[in-house]
Amino acid sequence: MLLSKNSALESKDNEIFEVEESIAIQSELIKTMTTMVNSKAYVNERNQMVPEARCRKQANYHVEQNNKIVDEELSDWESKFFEVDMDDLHELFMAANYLEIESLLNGVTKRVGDFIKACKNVEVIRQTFGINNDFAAQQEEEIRKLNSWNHI
Amino acid sequence: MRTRRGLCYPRPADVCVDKLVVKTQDFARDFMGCRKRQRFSPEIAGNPDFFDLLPDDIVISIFSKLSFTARSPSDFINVLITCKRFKSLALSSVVLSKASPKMFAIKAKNWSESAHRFLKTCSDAGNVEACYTLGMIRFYCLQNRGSGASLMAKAAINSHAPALYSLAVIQFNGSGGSKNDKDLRAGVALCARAAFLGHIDALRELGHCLQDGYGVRQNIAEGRRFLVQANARELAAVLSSASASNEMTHTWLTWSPHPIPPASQRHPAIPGCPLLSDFGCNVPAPEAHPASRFLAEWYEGRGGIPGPGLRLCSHVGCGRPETRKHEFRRCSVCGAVNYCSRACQALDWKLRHKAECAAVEQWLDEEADGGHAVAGNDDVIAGS
Repeated sequence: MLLSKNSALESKDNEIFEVEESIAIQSELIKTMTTMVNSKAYVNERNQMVPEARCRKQANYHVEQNNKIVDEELSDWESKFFEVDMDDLHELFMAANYLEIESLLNGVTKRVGDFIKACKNVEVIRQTFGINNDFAAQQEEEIRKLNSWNHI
Repeated sequence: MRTRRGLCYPRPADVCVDKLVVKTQDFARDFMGCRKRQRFSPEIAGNPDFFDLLPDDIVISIFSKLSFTARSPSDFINVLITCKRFKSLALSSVVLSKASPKMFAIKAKNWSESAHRFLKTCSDAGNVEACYTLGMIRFYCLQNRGSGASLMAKAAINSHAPALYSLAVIQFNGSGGSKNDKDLRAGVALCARAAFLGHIDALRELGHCLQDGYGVRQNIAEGRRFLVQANARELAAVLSSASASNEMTHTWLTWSPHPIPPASQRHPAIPGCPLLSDFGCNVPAPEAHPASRFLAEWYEGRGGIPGPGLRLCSHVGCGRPETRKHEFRRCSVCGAVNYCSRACQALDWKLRHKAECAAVEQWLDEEADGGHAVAGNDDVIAGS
């Protein structure tokens, strides 16, 4: 491999990740930071402190693997990567949103979308995601009636 | 206003929290911190839900992916009923414009004002499939010709091949008007545009028009080429969908040199048919568009009669009704079936009618050479 720059990124809980610059740049946020900081070509540049939780580790992992695997394997790998529980998905979301990594964001949104689809009815959706029903009873009845056309 | 517990967490039961506040990046970080604190404080009942901490645009992109991959309307409607925030975000035009055609696969018996409104909302949001589906329903079922045609035109302008083809059929037959409203050249032009986009029925129709010089200068060789291309595309589409679903294609795809394969070759589960009698391959019939299925169910529910003295297209996958008497053409051999277009006629011949029409051919056998009559009929009716 060529001598690519390695960036040292520090997360909020003070873990330091060494990542290749090309991978770190997939995050829009880091990209803007690097360009703003006006860096020269030296190895082991220490970026500014990126206040972020442990989920950054997952983000980096994903990005790294992304660059190494061929397309067919990628989809398998991705589906395994996203088979995590709600809390982890949530953290992935926050990480992807904060760091602005588009591919990760796409993956997670798709996964959550599939999750919702897999729920058989509204109650299951509410349970899975812990959503509070804020419709008044009468409103809900109205809406159910109005939307009864979608039943098979 | 920030409290130690953080903002906008759903309180148990009663209070209706305003969730429409657009959350910024800073908020997100603060929430993360608050959320962590919340986990350890037992006095707070009701955890924050998954979506509470996600900003609106992310939830919208989740819903967009959901609508894009929806396999039926209920996948999406469940979201609308879940909570207020979901309802308002899911009805945004970004989400609706990306909806898949299967999301508009409404059962005809469930048709209602709210279904109508839903389709209208989606077509207003710019969803081309919704425009087409609603256009078909309004034109044929609700008999609102002007509005239906304009909706289909809206879809057609966005290069929606089925819409272009449907408009072509309307022009060829002068549907919704009198016999003098037929416009063959316009029909051919629309057909050509749909065929250019790869629509198989349009390719067939265009092929027949060229062979017969109908609305366009006759060019038999060119017509034949289009017909062959339609068959090839059909086979390719079926093969690619079968390989995508990992089916064993060779259970139904058999090679037979005979134009009419013996019944024993047909796979019992899948209605194999000599769809490509040119090449002797058995291929299952193509899947009908949700709009066509709707039309078929609609008229089935009305006893198969669209109106006094009017008939339906005898091709089951089409579902189109006549809009005036004697609008459709009938089979010249038996006269018992009629079709809205030559494409439907050719398809139905291969799928089904070839076997049924045999009765009249037996009668012809007595007069002339049997093989001769069959071949002659093939040319006239199937034209391929």
